[in-house]
Amino acid sequence: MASQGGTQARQMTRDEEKEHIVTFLMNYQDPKSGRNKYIDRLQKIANRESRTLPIELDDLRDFLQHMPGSGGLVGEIKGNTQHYLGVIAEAADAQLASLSVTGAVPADIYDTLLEAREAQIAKNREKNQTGGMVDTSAPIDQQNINKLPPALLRRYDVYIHAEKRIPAPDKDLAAAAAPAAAGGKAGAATQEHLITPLRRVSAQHIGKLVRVRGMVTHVTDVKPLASVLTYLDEDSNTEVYQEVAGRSFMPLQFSRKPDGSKWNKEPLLQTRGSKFIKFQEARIQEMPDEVPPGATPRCISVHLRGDITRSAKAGDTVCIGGIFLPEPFTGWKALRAGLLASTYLEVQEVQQLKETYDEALVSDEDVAAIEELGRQGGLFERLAASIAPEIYGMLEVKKALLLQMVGGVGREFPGSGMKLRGDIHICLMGDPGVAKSQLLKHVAKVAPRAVYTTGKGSSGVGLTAAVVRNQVTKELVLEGGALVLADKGICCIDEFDKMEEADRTNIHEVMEQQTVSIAKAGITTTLNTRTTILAAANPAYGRWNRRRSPGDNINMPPALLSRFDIMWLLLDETDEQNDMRLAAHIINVHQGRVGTAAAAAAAAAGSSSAVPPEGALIPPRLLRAYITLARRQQPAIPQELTDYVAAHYVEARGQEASELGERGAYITPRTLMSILRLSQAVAKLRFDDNVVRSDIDAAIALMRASQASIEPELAKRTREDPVSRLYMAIKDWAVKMRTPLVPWETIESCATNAVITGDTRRDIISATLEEYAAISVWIIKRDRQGRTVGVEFAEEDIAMA
Amino acid sequence: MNMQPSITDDLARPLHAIPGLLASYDGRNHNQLFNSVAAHFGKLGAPDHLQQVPILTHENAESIPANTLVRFRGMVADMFNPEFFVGAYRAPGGPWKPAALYTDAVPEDIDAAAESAIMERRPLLLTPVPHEQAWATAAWAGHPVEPPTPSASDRSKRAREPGSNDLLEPALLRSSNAAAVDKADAAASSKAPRIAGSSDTDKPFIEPDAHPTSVAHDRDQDQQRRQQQQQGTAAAAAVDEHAQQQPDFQPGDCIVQVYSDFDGFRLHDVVEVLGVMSVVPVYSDFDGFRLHDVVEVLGVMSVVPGLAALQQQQQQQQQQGGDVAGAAAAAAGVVAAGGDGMDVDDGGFWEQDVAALPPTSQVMRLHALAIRKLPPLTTTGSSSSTAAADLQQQQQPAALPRSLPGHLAAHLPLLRQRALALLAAPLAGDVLAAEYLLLAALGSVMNRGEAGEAMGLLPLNLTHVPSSGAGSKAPGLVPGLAAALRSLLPHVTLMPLDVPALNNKRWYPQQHAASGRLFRGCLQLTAGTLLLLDETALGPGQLGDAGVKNLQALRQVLTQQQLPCGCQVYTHNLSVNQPAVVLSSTRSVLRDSLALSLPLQPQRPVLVKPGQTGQTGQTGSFDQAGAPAAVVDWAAADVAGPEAVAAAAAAMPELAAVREYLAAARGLECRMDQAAAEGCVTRFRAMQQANPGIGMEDLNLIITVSKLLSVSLGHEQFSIDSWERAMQLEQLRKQRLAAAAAQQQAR
Repeated sequence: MASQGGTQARQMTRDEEKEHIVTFLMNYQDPKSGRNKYIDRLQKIANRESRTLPIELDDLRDFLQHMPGSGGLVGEIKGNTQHYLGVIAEAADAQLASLSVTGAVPADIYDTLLEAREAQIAKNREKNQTGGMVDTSAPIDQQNINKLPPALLRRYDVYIHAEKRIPAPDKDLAAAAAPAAAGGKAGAATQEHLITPLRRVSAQHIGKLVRVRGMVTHVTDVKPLASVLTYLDEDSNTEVYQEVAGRSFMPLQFSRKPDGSKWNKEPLLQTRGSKFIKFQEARIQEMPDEVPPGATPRCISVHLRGDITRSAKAGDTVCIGGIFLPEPFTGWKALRAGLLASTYLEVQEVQQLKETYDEALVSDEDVAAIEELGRQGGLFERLAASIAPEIYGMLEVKKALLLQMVGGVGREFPGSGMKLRGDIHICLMGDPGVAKSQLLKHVAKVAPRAVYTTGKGSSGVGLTAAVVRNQVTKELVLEGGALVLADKGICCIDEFDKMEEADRTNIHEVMEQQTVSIAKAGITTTLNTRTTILAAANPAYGRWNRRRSPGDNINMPPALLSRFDIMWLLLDETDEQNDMRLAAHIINVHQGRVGTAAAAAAAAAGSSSAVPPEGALIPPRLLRAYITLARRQQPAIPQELTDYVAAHYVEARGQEASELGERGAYITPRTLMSILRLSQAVAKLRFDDNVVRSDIDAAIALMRASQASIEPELAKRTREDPVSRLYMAIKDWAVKMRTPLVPWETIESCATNAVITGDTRRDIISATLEEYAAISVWIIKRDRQGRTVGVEFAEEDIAMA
Repeated sequence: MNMQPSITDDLARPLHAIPGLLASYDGRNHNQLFNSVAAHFGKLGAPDHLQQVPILTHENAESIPANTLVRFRGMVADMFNPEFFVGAYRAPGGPWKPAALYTDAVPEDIDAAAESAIMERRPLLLTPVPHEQAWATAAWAGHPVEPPTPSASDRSKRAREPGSNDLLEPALLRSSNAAAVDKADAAASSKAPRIAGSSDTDKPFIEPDAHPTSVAHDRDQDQQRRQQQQQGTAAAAAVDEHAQQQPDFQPGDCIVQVYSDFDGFRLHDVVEVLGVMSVVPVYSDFDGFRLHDVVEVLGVMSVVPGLAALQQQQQQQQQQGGDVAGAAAAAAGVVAAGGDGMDVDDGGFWEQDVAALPPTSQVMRLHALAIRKLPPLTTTGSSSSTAAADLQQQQQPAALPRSLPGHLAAHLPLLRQRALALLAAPLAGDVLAAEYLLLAALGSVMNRGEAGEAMGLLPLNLTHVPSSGAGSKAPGLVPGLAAALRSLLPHVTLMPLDVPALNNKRWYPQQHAASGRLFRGCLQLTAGTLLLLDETALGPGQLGDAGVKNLQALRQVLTQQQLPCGCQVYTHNLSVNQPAVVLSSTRSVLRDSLALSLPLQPQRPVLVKPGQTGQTGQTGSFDQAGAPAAVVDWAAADVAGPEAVAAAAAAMPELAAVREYLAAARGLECRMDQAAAEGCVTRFRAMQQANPGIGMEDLNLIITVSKLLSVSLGHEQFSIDSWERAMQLEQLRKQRLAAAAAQQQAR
């Protein structure tokens, strides 16, 4: 079946290569499933269930590692991909013939046609007449005459998928020295293969396999493209076939017969007997983050053939693997363009990036760097301080923002379809000029998926979805607004209070139900908006009025307010030290000393926050990678901690009722959910599968801090309570020394530091010890005489902080 | 001495050096080849060689033969996709020979090539630096700087009057003459009237026809066509840009093929090119070209590539798609899928490829042998420095000067005084306004904060500018002010900010969906261009969708110094550096975006006498003028018109030095040491205690003002004195504001 063209020397290598590929197809076992991946694929093709044969170069490389004499084949394939598509197809053809069809496959018209043709060819052969394939682009191959061209018979297309991973250079030898089981051990000794930036695709890539990322800007309809043309040769009454490689061909009547003579009668093109494949053109544009500042984005044309068509729509973000090929201008175009060639990507695979964008962001080096960060400790503070480093202080707010970016764990109950969101919504309120917008913008920059918008600048439609007319196709399409675009990400809405009332109501649905329902211009649909919202709002009267109740100050309905897990009030208070620092900071920014100065300022300002950030700030890229990794965790809350949370909740609710009376409207059942979500986010930051008590403590502390920003009395109360004060002092010491064991002497000195003196001193200390031991924060250590010698925290609580 | 003959040879026949340079080419390392070419021609950057190279302009483009070495300077207005071309080829066993390397011509024996190397180059679209003053251009070219004559400023004044088309007349005449001489240019010249004459560097950057105007000339056909186009653009810009045709070229535009390191260039960079002129023959009388001639022409065209007349061909092909396909099939092949549908649709994709290949009748083409970025703002008196610079270092513009040149520093107070006096003349002697104007003009983005906010600029709003509209008895001071700024600064643009301008013009660049080319926006300016926005004619009206977007883009430029660029599926922000001054009769509509506003106050006549030596000492005259003088009616005020300003500037003996001073001061980076910073903080703290209402924005403003003050005095080190001076200025400004507010209330 397989053709045997070419010269002797060529034949040898080509056959050898084919031999290798055949071995690969027959023997490769998927390391995960242990099945013969490619035999399965071929079987599907034989059963006519599939029309594609993707060959993954990763598999081929792993397989060939253990085959002697096959070195360089993968390299060859990468460098001259178009050629090897044919080689692989031939190899696959040979294997397909040996596979028996499982299950009944009804013969279609195509089969009937083929049968008739084969009979005809056999007859011709008897009569010793010519007929069969004519390829005008290549020298006539005498051996192929009287045969149907294999391309006409193929019911599948071969696609070569570029390598996703490449062998790590230093581990190459080790992998070769210790031969693993057939199929290789992909993943261990490999590193991620970088995607070529669209801008870097250059002349040296011509003919090679490249992977690029981009946005699809323009797609044509799928059109039939001739692949094998069948002519009726009336001279000899036979069929003549012509394979078409490119986009254009020379009709047979304009060239000579295979034997060099002229046609007596022009051969007739038979469209019915010809083979057409699906063909689509598209254009992709460079991703916004790859465009160098100040340059225009670059575009590249891509061609899609066969079943891979329709795998990308205009507006999609895709990663495309393909062969970069020149298309010499023919006919008119050639005359116009001189020696220029247009280039395109012959697409081999299309990967939609919406889902996998996260993965693409984290490289192995990032993982290593993150592990290194973990060893350095003090990570929570450090990560938080790295958010918007040019904004001084606000460590607690930044912590909240960090947790927001990481998010809690969403849950869906299969039966009822009810959903519990994992998103942590935050609202920052405060006086103008306290850098709310800057925080928002920075979050939008760092978060893996984020959209920044202002309430003033966007109507409800702009936030949810709109029906717009596509400029190219003139069709009405549904276009997602900011909230829809930020699905599974963060939507930062500035000037939240300036939004129209009606538009804000739309957001209610988004925040709790996480969908947007649309019914306009004949389109009724529900879109997913699993979006975390970070809102910034100014107080109702421009400035926060201490004399009015928070409800009056915040010009938003309670229904909306309660949907925010954390509300934070940022006041522009005249604090001399703070002002001095701000002023110094502004001057620094003027001098262009942003990062270091902010770090220095933050380090100097350690007095106000619990722990000064250790070491340098984490660069935004790494921060983003960290968050991306952390987001993948799905920590659960163990049963034994639920009581702890519940006790806290009940206590807090009672306290609020007694202290604030009617004004208290912050602690609702939603608060409980918020605490759980926040603690899950803290656990995620630790890459833990379980929430531990310290996570909940951190979450509660954050909630407290946010409430204290709104109700200063709350903050005062916590500070006045000596038991809490002592506990905080002890915890701080333990965290600082990084030891879970706190000896008695230290507890005493902590008490002194916390200004606990007088007669009740001993009582307070023992009360503190007992109270926190009762809720299992620590264990009281006693000596043989029963005297208290210290307390011991749970190991992981300290390690985390 | 050995080099000498080779250099003269290079100057005369630049392409002759290429085959020699190809000797070391191995068929793969293109970059090495391009670098050796750049190195070879970089040595032509020496001043005496450079002076021998003709400067390519729109006027002389037709008289320069192909493959001549020319130089060209322009702003990058667009960047096309890289072009892949057959760069070199060789016959079996033969040496590598250049194919389409630095040329558009095809070698005759290319068909015999056994092996060819595909290389890439990137076409950049350069446009003459927008709003460049004639004196600045002349300074670059090395011509003697002509003093601006009253007639020149007269012309520019008329150009600014909305509705005036006098300016267009020379271009129209010229192009119709050309059309009479050479029918080949007929197609191009019919477009020419849309565009202002390029000889006048004062021309508006965008097509003037964005303002619907009536033409009082009897060129019937032209006029009709023109009006159609006017209506077309006005409607199309607002509604559906897709329906619009491709962005067109303007005279003086030049496509430069850059062969190496082309990713280093940015939009709005000013670059200087030493390159080979490429002229591709234009088929004479293309309109008479008919389908049946196709096959015959092929022979001719295969010898000489037909880059020309692409668009005409394309139109033809679309009209007669099927036939052309048939004819083309006879010659070469047919599109595989057959049928017209494919071919026409294919045209859409093909459009992007041809976008970079417009005929030379529309736009000049150059192949860059050496190219480099010019540092911004060095057009003044820089002919010597330009020439001396090494053309090999393409990417790095020369570093900004750290301090003022000695000869300027010596006369600094006088030079500053001169500049202030010239600026104050059209403002009826308002020295305070002149002072602020000077600071605003010296502003430049020194650094950007983390959130992208630009530091170092002072967008200024001059309010209470008498409206120049009809019915006002006072003469408008805008033309005079523009003339004053133009005589001092190399790049100044005066743009009307009114409803029609916002609705009908394109202010920010946008990509054309099919071709990928940019529609130009009038805010596409080179770094340092002073944006003078005239809001005095603003009246009530309805802003359309386009108008709102334009206004948003303008705001973004003013507040963040970022120009949005619409790129089909997303918006890409370009960093710009545009000091801005808004002139308005009341508070500006852009007030949120402007750092400070200052009501103008005409003073008692302060005559600018050419011979008069200005007051010495750094303290300008604003101290005396700052006292709340009796408000002078604008009608009585002595507002120097553009003619008077130009005359005063021309008569000023130190004009060149003043220009040099301004250019040098603008590049100064005023550094602040720790002591000064602490001084500022303490002073600010004291201020804040006195007045708790003062916030961080005020501090930001004061620091910017005092830094600019330092810079205007030629200080490269921030001194606390300038803080004090800035406070004085600010106090005077606040008095003015209060007085204006009181006046408002009294009415």
